[in-house]
Amino acid sequence: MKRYIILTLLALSISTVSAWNKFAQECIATLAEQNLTEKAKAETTKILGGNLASGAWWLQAIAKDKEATKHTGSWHFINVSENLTSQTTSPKDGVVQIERCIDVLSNRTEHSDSTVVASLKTLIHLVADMHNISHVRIAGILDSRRNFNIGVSNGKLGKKEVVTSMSWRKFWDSQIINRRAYFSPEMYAEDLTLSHAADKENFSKGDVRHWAADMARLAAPIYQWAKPDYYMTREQNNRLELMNDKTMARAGYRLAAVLNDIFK
Amino acid sequence: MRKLLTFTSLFVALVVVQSAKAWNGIGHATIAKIAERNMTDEALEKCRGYLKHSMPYHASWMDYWRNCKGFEETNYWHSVPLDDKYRQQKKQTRNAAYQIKRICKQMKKYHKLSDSIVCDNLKYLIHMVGDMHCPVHTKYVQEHLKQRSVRVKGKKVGFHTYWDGAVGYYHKGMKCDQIAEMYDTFTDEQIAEICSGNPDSWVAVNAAEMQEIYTLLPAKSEVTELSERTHAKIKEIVVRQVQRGGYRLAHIMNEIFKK
Repeated sequence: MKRYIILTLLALSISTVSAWNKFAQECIATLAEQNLTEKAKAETTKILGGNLASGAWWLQAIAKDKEATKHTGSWHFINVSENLTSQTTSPKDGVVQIERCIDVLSNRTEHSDSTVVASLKTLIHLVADMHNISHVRIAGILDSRRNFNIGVSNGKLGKKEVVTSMSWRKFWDSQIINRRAYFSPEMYAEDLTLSHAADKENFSKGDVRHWAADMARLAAPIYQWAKPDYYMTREQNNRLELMNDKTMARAGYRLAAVLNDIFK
Repeated sequence: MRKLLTFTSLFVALVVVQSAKAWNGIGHATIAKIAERNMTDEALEKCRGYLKHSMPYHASWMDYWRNCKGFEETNYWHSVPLDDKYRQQKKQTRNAAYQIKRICKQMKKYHKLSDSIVCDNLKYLIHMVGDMHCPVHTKYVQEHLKQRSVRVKGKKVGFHTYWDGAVGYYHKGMKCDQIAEMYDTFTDEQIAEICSGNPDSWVAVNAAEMQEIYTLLPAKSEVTELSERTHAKIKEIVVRQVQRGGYRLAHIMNEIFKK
């Protein structure tokens, strides 16, 4: 079988900071918004001056500022130990930053308005990002801690097959979600509800450290096959989309849970 | 040389990624969304219950799986073949209209089928009803009505690719639910007229009407240099077919789930 390997410039596939793309962030924030209590919705709207989706991309937008990226670039990733638990206290870790944001928002009267706004926007973004498979760094699994290129097949046979080379993070940050780029975030959130409403209670249990461990358990087996230059079939791509939907649902329900708790 | 190869490959990659990203998907999703807006509450609830998703979510399911193991035969279920007298090849099983009729017949007793079969049948219907209304999925055998290529800003683009992507091309920046809302404007009487007949009579109308697309967009023509009137006519055909597809898909689903 002849394949046409298409090379893409890595520089194009990796932005300054890797994160779930804007559409994914907005879908997750919209799902969360739909699951907020009235009080939490009123408080978050007051702080943001809009809905959760309006603040979802802020942390990525400021990444254009190289100075800001120095401090926030590592926040988009979570780090778990070899036993798949989150124990780190490093301020460079996404979970630690989420906990910091929760603390600021829980004690918001002690902080300036701008700090409260920034904390809420950061929380929205990071709760989403920690549910992205390629943002879970596992001790002892080198491939979870680095970016590498894979080949994604268009599924066609013979000379019509095209294998697109893309980075592992680009695959998870945008390739899968862009299959539905023609949906509005409201439509995607509705779909996540249709497919995962029954899991809401289960997904929302525990705290951010539990959620990090949950994501680590989901991500770890993937690195048994995910290696540099891995050839991904169309069928596998299709199946991973279902997993991606499930992680997005986790993110949306958990973001709602944490906000409902803060603003109870 | 190496730099040139890399640059060329990059250009091709961007075109491939863009064309595969959404244009074809947006047409199918828009049709499915129009259908959802015109289904009875009962039909919509049952349909979504089997799918565990919305109809637009699965509108491109057949495209995603068409080349995967076990789905090879379905590759031939995306279009409607005609004979040399512009009639549908009704006994040809590699025919979207034939497969739609076969599945509709099977779905008359949907409650006796397993949930997974009902789910797959719905996904086939959602896609094939859309595809049979795509202008270029009516397959003529006449030489002057066969696929060619056109040019977009000087670049060669398949005639089929252009028409498949036309919903996105003429609605840049819009989401499928916005497009569906914009075109779901027909009255009950108009919808009833569109939905009268059956897949065979719908194909017969397509067979007569879709010949026009080959004169509107001649081989090797530069799309960006077409007159506004021609673009308006192409868009009119695209929109009309999307509306027909959406209303007829809703009609089929309402019929299946009326019991």
